Amino acid sequence: MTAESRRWRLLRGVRAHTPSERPWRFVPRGALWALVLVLAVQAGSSAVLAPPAATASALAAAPPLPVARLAALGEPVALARLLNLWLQAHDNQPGINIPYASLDYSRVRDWLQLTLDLDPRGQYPLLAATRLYASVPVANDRRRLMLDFVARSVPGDPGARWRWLADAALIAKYKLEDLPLALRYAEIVSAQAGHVDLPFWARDLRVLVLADMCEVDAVKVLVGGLAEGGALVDAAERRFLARLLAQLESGECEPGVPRAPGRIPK
Amino acid sequence: MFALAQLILREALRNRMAWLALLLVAGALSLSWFLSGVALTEAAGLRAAAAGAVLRLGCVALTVVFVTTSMTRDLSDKSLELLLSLPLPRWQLLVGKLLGYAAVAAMIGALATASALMLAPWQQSIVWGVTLTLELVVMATFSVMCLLSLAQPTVALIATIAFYVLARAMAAIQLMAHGPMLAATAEPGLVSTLMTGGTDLLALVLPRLDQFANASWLVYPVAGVAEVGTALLQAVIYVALLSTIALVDLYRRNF
Repeated sequence: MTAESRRWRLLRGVRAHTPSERPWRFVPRGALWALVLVLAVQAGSSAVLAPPAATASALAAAPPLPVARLAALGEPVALARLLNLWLQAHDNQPGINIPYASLDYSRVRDWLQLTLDLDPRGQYPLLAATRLYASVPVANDRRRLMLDFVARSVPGDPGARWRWLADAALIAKYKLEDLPLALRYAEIVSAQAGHVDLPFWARDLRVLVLADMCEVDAVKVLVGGLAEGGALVDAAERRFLARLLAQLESGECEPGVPRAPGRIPK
Repeated sequence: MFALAQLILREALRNRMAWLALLLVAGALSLSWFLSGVALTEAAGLRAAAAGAVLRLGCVALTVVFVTTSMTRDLSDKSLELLLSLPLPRWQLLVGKLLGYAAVAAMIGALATASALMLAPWQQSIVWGVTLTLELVVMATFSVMCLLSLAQPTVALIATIAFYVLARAMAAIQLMAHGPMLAATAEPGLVSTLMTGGTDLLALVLPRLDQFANASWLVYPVAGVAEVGTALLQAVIYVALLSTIALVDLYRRNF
């Protein structure tokens, strides 16, 4: 062992045995009393100060897309996700609950549009529009704003967004009881059948809405077209549509008079 | 004591802190002008709010980083040990350091206030600037205390950032803890009580930094002497508390 390494070992030993803190007796009593006193004053003043008050702030207008892109600092998807959460939590601000009915739905739509523009592959704003903002008990014109937002967004990415329009059609049918609107949405969904692998229920949505509208002839034409085109490959679907047609033709439906929506053939 | 404070001021000037602070102001003003250029309406309000928020955050970052690096240099260069070898009580050493850092914080705050004067009426700018300076002094003192207690710059910096975020968000956290959301989702019981009680306890020992230098004060004339008074009271009490903790740590520390 060289003299140099012996010296280092010795220094390390001295360092290891030197405590980093001196005993408490080195602290002047005045400093300790001052600490206790100031801590008590701080706690007391915090308790005396006015407690935080909850205030409901109105939903601000959404910024233009270029500004949001700038604020995202190259992370538009992250910003979109955060904005989604922020918007979703806006009704539940610290200490206070804001009813959805008092939200400015046109601003909500603008924020949803902004987050969709920032993250076009994200489905969050479309889900929020249909399952949250259009499903809670609010006035129908507000629901229509949300459904319209979804319908307008579908051409941007029909393959991923058709399901939200199908949701919108169901909301139009059951909550708004606006069958023509539900039919319009169902037609857009059905139109995707050639390009997108639609499940039976989505493809047949138009048929179901037309059945609710008692448009017997239109239902016959549609079902016939599906059968002739070889689209009805599933036996259960063929059976279901045949029963529906039989139910409509049995006379329970008056042409032009909508029947109660949602009656499914047994 | 005052010589120590002067040394810190000189260090700040030699570190080109003034240039850095000027760059920060220029950056904040440019960003706010750019944003207001694309605003459809209320451009002046947007300009003031954006500049206020960026300046506040930037000034706090500048102050905290300066104090942390300066104290770290003192500890690693052993210049603190050299000072301790002088016939100077430890409390005077600490007060001298704190005065120096408070002076640097005041300089940064003054620069931010001067730039706020370009964006908002002078009364609103002064209220905002004074409370910002107080916030900077609190943060500088907290950084000193962290360095003396924790000795590690990385840990001290992280602790300072965590403290700042918590102090600014504490009011909102407290409201949420007492709000309807937690009451609706959390099961009543020990955990819920502990959560609410813990939040209240934490709020007692933290300053309400959400009541300091709010950027909205530059946009609307909502703050005045009362806000400055409350901030001053909180800052005085909290700086005293942090200084005392730092003093106890300094007396106990074995150099």
